[in-house]
Amino acid sequence: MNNPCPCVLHHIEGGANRIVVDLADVVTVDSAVIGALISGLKAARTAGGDLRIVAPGNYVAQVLEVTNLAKALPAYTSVDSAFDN
Amino acid sequence: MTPTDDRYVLPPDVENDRLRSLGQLHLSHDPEDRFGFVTKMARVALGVPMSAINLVDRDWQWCKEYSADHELHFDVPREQSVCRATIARAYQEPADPALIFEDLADSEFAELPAVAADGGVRFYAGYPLFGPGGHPVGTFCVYDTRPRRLSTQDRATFGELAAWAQRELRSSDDLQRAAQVQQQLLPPPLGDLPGYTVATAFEPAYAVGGDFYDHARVQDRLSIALADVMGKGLGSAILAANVRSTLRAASRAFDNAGTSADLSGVIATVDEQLADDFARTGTFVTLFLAQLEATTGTVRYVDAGHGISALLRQSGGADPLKSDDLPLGIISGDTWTTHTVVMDPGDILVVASDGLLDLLGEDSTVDDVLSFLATHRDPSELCRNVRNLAAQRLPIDDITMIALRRDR
Repeated sequence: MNNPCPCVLHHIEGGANRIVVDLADVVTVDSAVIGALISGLKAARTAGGDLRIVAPGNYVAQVLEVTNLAKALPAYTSVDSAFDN
Repeated sequence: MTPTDDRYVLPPDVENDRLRSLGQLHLSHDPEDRFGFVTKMARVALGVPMSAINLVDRDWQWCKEYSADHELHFDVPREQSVCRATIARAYQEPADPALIFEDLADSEFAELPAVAADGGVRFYAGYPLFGPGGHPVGTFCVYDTRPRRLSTQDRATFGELAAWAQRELRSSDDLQRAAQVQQQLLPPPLGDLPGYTVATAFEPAYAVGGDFYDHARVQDRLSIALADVMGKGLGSAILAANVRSTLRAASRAFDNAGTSADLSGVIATVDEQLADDFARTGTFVTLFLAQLEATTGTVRYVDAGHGISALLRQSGGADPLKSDDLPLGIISGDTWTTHTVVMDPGDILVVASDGLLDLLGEDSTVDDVLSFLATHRDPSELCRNVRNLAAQRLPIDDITMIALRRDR
């Protein structure tokens, strides 16, 4: 996945800058997915917004914790609460 | 049939690993000649009208390649495929994974659209194809529109063709060459470092990956680097080689300037030089860089999001080498911190890639890894145990490890 998150970039180009990615139903994850999320995060922040993730599985959560990326990309429990603060 | 009473639905943790294994192969859905040769040969050798190589994803079965005398549309929802039973059988009957139906009309699959249709499939023989970690990710199949029986000779031929398809899946020429180059880029074993014992383990999942390690020795100073480029396959291997050479050049420049102890400066330089590459390719790199002064046991290190490193104390227990720093390629202009710890005689410094998390089992955490590491007192034994585990469990992800003990 070398052109990550085309859908996220599409939304950002369309003017959105607060993006929530719901990972609850995502089963297929490898580290390339983390790369895609980080690219999306960078694009959203460049556009003055943020990207937040919801319900990552154990693998994604572990990788985010190990890499300290959990600080940049904290996980929320539901889509509704992701932009509460 | 609902998913819950479908006996071919795999347990969630197994399915999760299986899908990751499929993802590691980075296969497109486009046909490829190397598979086309197998399916064409299968038609000739077995005298069947159709042969296919299918990939079984979470919800869909994709036809990667087929050979037939007419155009076929083999992409089907997984619950309408016979191959899902071949996938399940690979786990249940690993010694005899071929699934053969002489007449599908007499089977539980009789109602499937592809079987029940006019001129539908009657004969099916499927053999699972395996990805990294030994997970069945697809099938090699032959079909006929009439019932048929495979002779003993035919079955042997079918097995040999399946083995050919498996070899093609495992080792495309490009990946094989890249894997060789990657092995050659690893440093030769360190010579004796008086007072220290070093051991390493490098267990690549068979796809080419983004892990590498490097070490260099200048007088009594030993530098160690372990990195993981996020993402897998050829792209991350190319970037890994790039990171390796940039890191070497930056380390040498700092050495020459007499500032070799400024590891955070080295990291920031590498990050700056590669910033464009990271941005363009949507990747980032976790990196652990350490420098040991052998006479004093002083270790300076920077942990850029690498995460799995610890000092195993002679007195017992594992002290994680803490750091709050992010990987390279996340925030432009980011900075890193150089930390210092001292190894006492008998202490072991261990750095490992996150593949070790996988190896210790589904749901294992960094604490589990530390507990596992803490049971070891000998670097060679630790690396041997990791290699043995990898041989038993077949890693889905690369595992790289360096262990260094101060003997006296």
